[in-house]
Amino acid sequence: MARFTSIQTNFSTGELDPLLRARVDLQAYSNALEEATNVLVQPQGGIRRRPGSKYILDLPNAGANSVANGVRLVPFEFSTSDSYMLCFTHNRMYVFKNTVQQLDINAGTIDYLDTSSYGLTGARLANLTWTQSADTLILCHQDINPVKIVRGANDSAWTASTLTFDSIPKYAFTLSASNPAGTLTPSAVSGKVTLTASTGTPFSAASVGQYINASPQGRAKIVQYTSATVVQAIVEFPFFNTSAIANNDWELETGYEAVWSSGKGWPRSVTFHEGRLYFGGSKSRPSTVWGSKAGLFFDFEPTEGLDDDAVEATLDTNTFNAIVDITSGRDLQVFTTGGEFYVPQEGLDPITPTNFFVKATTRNGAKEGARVQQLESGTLFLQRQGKSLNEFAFTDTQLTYVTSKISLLAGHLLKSPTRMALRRSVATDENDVLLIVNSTGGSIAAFSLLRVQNVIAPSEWTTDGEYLDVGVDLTTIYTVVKRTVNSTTQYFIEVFDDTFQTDCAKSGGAAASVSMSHLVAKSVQVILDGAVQAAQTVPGGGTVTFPRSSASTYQVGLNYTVQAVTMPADIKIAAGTRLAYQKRIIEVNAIVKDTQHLVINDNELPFRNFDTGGTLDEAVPEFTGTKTIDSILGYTTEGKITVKQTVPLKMTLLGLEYKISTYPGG
Amino acid sequence: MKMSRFDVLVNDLPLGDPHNAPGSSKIHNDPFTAAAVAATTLSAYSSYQQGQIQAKQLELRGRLEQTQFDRRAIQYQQKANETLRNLKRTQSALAARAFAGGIDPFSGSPDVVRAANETAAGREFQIYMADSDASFRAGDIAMQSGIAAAKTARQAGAFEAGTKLLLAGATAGKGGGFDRTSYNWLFPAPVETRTVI
Repeated sequence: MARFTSIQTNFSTGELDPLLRARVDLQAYSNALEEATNVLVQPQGGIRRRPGSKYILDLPNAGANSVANGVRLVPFEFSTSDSYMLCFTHNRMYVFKNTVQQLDINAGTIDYLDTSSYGLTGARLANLTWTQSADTLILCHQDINPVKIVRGANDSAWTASTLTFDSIPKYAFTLSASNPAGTLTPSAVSGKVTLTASTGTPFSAASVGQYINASPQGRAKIVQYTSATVVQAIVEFPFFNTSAIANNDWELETGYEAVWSSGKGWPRSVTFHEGRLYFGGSKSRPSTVWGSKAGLFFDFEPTEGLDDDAVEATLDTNTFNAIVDITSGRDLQVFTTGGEFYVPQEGLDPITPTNFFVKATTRNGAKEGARVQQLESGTLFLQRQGKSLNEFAFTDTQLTYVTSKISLLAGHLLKSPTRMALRRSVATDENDVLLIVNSTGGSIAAFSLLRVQNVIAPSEWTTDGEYLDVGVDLTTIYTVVKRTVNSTTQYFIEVFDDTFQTDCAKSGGAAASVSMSHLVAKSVQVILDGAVQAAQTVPGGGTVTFPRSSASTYQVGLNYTVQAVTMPADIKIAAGTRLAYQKRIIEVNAIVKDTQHLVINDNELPFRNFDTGGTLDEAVPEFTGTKTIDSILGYTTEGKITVKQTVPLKMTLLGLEYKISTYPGG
Repeated sequence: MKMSRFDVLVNDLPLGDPHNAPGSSKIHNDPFTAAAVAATTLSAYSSYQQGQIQAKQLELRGRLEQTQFDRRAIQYQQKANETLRNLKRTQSALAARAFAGGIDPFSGSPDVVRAANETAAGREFQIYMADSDASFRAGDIAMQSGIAAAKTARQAGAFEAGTKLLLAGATAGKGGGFDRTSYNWLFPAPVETRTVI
């Protein structure tokens, strides 16, 4: 057996799909991990322990208001200094600011806003869409009149109301025409005219909005009802003259009604774009996009087709396209179950009724409920069946949008995804992080993205429970987690926090105990002044008493396992490849930064250094440099290195240099 | 060529033969008086002729103006038809653009724009047709006006000629009297007007 030395300089491919296990020809293979659990890939290539989560609130777990019936996190950015995370559950809205729940909403006695009057039931939250401008948040679901949430004078002043439209566009769901008896006499041939029928009762109050057609010419829209024989109308095409129009030479065209109503359903998706409010799809018109009049966000009925008039277009393609989301990016982008569309605009040309077209681009289809996310490079969306994560981006070379599969190398991490949120990087040692909640298994697929460098590094985040939702308030990642505590299902609002190494955790300063009543009977990790103590089971009373009082800090929470496994070693020697040959990792040099704990191939590396004051029951010093472990035993055909953490301490792994022994012959 | 009553009268005048002129038997006794009467008579004739010519010119001008108005009216009708043709082109382009743009051309904004186009084109069509009607009416008025002016010119010419003949008669009376009946040809019956178009 001969020995070779190799190095994995980075992990910027993240966890690689098992289907690519043999693709040693890919450049990504050498930068990949076979498993990347509870780690986050950094833009420089290293991996670090994912942030722990801070406990914020227990959500209802019983009755109609239980989170089991539905939950949704909706960010709300009121100003540069005031941003919130709104958590909707069945008929309730909880408000969080800077990870703190806002209490006594509207100076009342309850800590949530009652939304029971607006149809925000738990079952509807899964397909809720929203958009926000200044102090107003608009929520849409096809079964309810859009709801307006407005922040008032302070953090706990919130009001909800149904959105009142100045006008709603009309549509003839069932168009019909009748020939009333008698003649019809217009008072003028054009403009606003009075139409007088000679006999019968052809008109009623419901005639408003309907049309009169005349022969040889004339078409008018009824705008006002006067009596059963007299109406006022706006002429769309002039009448021939003002003589009485003979019976059977005029007809009443009916069937036009408000396109949104309780009977016909309401808009499904919403966004603001270039001074208009846009709705995408409705229950009865799933493929139609409506835009308000410019600057008049609630006025949707078009009049003269002028440039600032309301716009409306129905997708006309050879497939059924129910709109699931609509977003304002480089252009107005429309995501449907059948494909991706955009509203083309040239230069600074505005959208007007005469150029409001919706061009089809790609045919992936988007998943309803998982809201699309805007990245600098494009828009991220989940494929209709949730099988892939795609990026919808404009290309200057083709002058159109194309879709690329972001999850091409890690499709296995998408397990029936339901929710998606993006945390944008705010520092050079951060990537954009796209978090996708999987309904199967309750994990989070965390995609660390640096698109300008073509970095897509996925990993999987797990916890003692299931993630149900995730939302980002500027830089703060909120999550809703379902955990089984003391044989009871509990739902928690938690916040990912880089200063935490445990989940559902509480922290504080000097203390002798802490109430962990939300985790009764769970085994929790206790970290006092940076030193990990023995795990404890939270007693029935919920109070965890520390083995000693903390002098400066404590943290108590659920541990989670961190594990990264390299791909099977690919040794290229003169005699050929050695991918499936017996081989043995003999020695590993782990290049780490600010690391307190590491286990490599089940061998725990020493970090505590008694020379520098690192006595027991003190914080383990953070180590930066190379940690070496040798004399590792065991031949396998894979030659993988497993890096993990069993205790909640810091870890950043930058690279792995390793010595490997394998058969050298031809 | 059909000739008018005036044409016949003018052509039948016995010019250039003073011996055949009516009343010559009394006037020629005084050569100066006869000359004055002859000159006045010729002047009367000239006035009459001028009136006739002016009437014809006015009548022709009326006809010309009517023709111009008629032509303008037809141009308006052409524009009205062109408006409808343009509308059809616009609407078809709108539908084609909507299809090409991936949207239903018969609902939403395309439908609104189509209705707006129809309204605008309808109004334009209507205005052109009204202009056409007005132009036809203006042509009729111009023609009637020309005929009326022609009638006035004839009457003025005849009146002036009559006045001059009266003067000639008076002159002749001083020299030997004046036989009114011999000059009936200078007092024609009222002119008939024709209805043109």
